[in-house]
Amino acid sequence: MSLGQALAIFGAALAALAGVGSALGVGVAGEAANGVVAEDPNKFGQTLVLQALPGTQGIYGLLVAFLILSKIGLLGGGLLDVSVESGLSLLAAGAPVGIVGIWSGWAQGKAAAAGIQLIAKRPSELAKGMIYAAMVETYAVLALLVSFLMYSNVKL
Amino acid sequence: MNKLSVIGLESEKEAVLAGLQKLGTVQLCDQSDKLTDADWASIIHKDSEEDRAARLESELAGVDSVLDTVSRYDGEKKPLFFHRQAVSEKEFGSILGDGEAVRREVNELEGKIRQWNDIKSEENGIVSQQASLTPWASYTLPLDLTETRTVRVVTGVLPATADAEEMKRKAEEASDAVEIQILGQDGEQQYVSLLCMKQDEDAVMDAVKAYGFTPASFKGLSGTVSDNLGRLAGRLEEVKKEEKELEGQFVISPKEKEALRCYADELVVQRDRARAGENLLATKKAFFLEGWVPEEAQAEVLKLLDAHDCWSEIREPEKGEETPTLLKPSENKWLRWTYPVRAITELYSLPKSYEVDPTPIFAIFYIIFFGMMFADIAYGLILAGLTFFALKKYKPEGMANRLLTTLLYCGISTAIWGVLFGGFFGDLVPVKPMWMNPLDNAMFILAFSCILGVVHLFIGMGVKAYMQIKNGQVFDAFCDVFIWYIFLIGLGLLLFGDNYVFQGAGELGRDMAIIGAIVIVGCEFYRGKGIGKLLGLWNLYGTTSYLADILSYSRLLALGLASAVIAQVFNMLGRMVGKGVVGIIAFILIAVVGHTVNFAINALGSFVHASRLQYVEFFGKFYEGGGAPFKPFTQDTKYVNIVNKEEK
Repeated sequence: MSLGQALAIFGAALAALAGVGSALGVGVAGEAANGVVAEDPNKFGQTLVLQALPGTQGIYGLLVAFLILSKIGLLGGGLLDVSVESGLSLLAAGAPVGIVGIWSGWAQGKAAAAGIQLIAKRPSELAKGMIYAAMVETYAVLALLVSFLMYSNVKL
Repeated sequence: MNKLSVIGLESEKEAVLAGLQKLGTVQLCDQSDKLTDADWASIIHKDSEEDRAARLESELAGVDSVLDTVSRYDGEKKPLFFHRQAVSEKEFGSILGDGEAVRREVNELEGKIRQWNDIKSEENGIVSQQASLTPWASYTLPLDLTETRTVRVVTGVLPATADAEEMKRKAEEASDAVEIQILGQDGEQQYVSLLCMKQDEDAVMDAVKAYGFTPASFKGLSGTVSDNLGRLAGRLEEVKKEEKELEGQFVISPKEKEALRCYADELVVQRDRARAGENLLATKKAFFLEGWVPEEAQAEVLKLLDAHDCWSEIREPEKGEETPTLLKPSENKWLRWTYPVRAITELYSLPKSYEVDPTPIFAIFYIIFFGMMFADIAYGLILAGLTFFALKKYKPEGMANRLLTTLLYCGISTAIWGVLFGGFFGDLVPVKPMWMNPLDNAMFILAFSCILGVVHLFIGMGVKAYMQIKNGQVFDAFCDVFIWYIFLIGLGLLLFGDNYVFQGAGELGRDMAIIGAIVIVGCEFYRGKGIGKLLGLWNLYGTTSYLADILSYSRLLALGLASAVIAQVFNMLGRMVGKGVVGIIAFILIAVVGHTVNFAINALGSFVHASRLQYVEFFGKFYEGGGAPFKPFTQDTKYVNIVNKEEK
C-alpha cells in the first residue's frame, strides 16, 4: 500500500469521527428524554424525534468516508493508485465533516435535550424545539457540503 | 372578523348560549375589565356558574375513566388517529334519551370498578404476605406460640453477613439448653428460630443480639407457616377468579359503549356552556355578552339572536384592534390546494389579524424544497402512499389531517425530483436522470439552490413591500425593498454576470450596485433623525445577512446528496455480501433495514430543514406572527361529531 492510499484512508477515518459528536449528542438527548418519559410515557414518540436529530452528523461522516473509500477502490474492485498529493487532498476533504461533526453533534444534542424539556411542559411546541436543534445542524450541513465539493474535485 | 355585542333576557340565556354553541361561529370575549369600570360595576356582576361547571367536570372525569377501563377489556384497538364518528343531532338525542339509563349504567360500572380495585389491593396484600412468609417455610411450630411452661420460643432475623455458627457457640456458652436453627437465607437476611429455657433467656438474648439478631413476630397469624401459605394460595386463586369474573362484566356491547360516549360528550357540551358564563355579564333580569364573529357567519348568528328577542349590534374592529385569526382557504382558486400547508404556518405562529397569511405564498416552495432534499422516486411514492392511506383509512381531523396532506404533497414532489435527479432507492434500480445527476454536477445544483433561495427571499421581501404599501408607507417600501432588489441583483451580476449571464453584465451590475448603495444610504439620511441619518451605512452592512441567507439554501443540495448517497451506501453494503442464495437474502435484509433507516432520518431532516428555510430565512423578511387563533364557542366533543344541519 502506498503512502497516498494510506493518507486517503486516514481521511475516511477522520470523516467517520463525526460519529463521536452524534454519539455524544444522541446520548445527552436520550438522558433528557428518559427523565421526561418517566413522568409521561406518552411522550416517547415526540422525544424520540428530538433525540434522532443529532444523529445526522454521524451519517454525514459515514457518507464522506464511504465516498472516499470507494473513490480509491477500497470497497470492492482493486485499490487504485493514489499519489501522495491526491491522498493528502482526500485527507483534507475528510476533515471538515469529521471535525465540525464532533462539536455540532454534541451541541445539537444539548439543544435537543433542552427541546425535550420544552415539550415536557408544552407538548404542542415540538416544532419549535426541532427548529432550534436544526439551527445547529446547519454547520454540519455546510461542512458536509465543503467536504463533498473537495472530494468531488480531487482527481486521482 | 367583527365584534358582536348582545343584550338579552336572563330567561333566554340558556337557549341563546345553546344556539350559539351549535352554530360554533362566535368566540366569546372575556369582559372582566368592565367590572373595574365604575359605570359598569354599579349595575352588573359577573355571571359565573363555576359550581355547575365543576360538578359536570367531575362527572365527566368519572365517565371518562369508566370508558378507559371498558376499552381496556373489550379488546377494541386504539386507532392511530381517533376519528370522531359523525352523528346527527336526532340520533344523538335518541341514543341518549333522558340520560337516566346511561347514568345508571355508569354508576353500576363505577361500582364494579371500585370492587375490582378493592380485590386488586387484596391480591397485592396476599402476594406480599406470601413473599414475607416463604423464607420461613421450614419452620414447623405454630406461629403464635411464644412460650411453653419452661421454654421461650423466639423467631428472628440475622444480617446475611453475621457468622451464625459463632453466634450459636456463644449462645451455648451462655446456657446449656439452647437450640438455634438457621431456617434459610437470602441476600439480606438469615432466618433464625431460637429455643431456650426461660431462666436463661436474658443471657442468651444478650449473646445473640451482639451478632445483630432481631426478634421478628408474626402478628395476627396462627398455625404453622405451611398452613398459612396454603391458605394464602387458596385465597389468591379465589381472588383471581373474582377478578376475572368482574373483568368479564366490564365488557359492554358496542351500543352501550356508544351511549356512554355520547353521554360523555353531552357532559362536555354542558360543561363548556356552564363555563361560557365566565364571559357573560349579568344584571338581575338581563345578560350581556361580547364576541368575535367572522363576516360570513353573521347572518346566521343575527337570525338566532332575533329569534330569542335579543338586542344585538355588530361593528367592525377599530383601527389597531387585534382580532383573533381565522385562516381561510385562499380566494384564488389556483392556490386553494395550499390550505392544508397552513399546518407549517401554525407550527410557527399564526399571523396577526392585519398580516397577510403567508401559506399560499410559501406552500409551493416548501414542497419543492422538501422534494429536493429527499429526491427519490421510491421514497416519494412510499411517503405519498403511506400518507394517502392514513388519510383515507383513519380520516384524521384538524392538525393531523393538515400535516398528512402536506406530507402527501411532499411525497409527490419527492418522486418528481427523483425522476429529475434519477434515484430509485438510491441506485438500486438504475434510472436515467431526466435532468441531471447532482452527484456529477454538484456545483451547478449548488448554484441552482442558491438561485431558488434568491427567488424565495425576494418574494418574502415583496410581501413586506406589499404590506407597507397597503399601509400607505410607499416610501418605506421603496427604501426597504425595491432599492435592495436593485442593489442585490447588481452585486450578483457584478460577481457572476460576465461569466454566466452575458458579456458586459458585470459592468451593468457594478452600476446598479453603486446606485443602490448610494440610495440606501440616502434614504436613511432623508428618513432618519439625528444620528439615525447615518443608519444607511449600517444597513449596507446588512448585505452579509443576505449572503448568509442565500448560502443557507445550499442545504438543498447537501441534504439531497445525503439522502441519495446514503441509499447508495446501503445498496453497496448489501451487494458486498456476495452472490448465491445467502447473498440475496443478506442483500434483502440490509436493503430493507438500511432504506427504512434512511427514509426515516431523511424524511425527518427534509421536514425540519424545509420548515427552517420558511421560518428563519423567509419569515425573517416580513413575518411577525403571534396572532391568537379564533376559538369559537362550539360543541368541542371528544368521541362523536354532532352534525347539526339536518340532511335534506
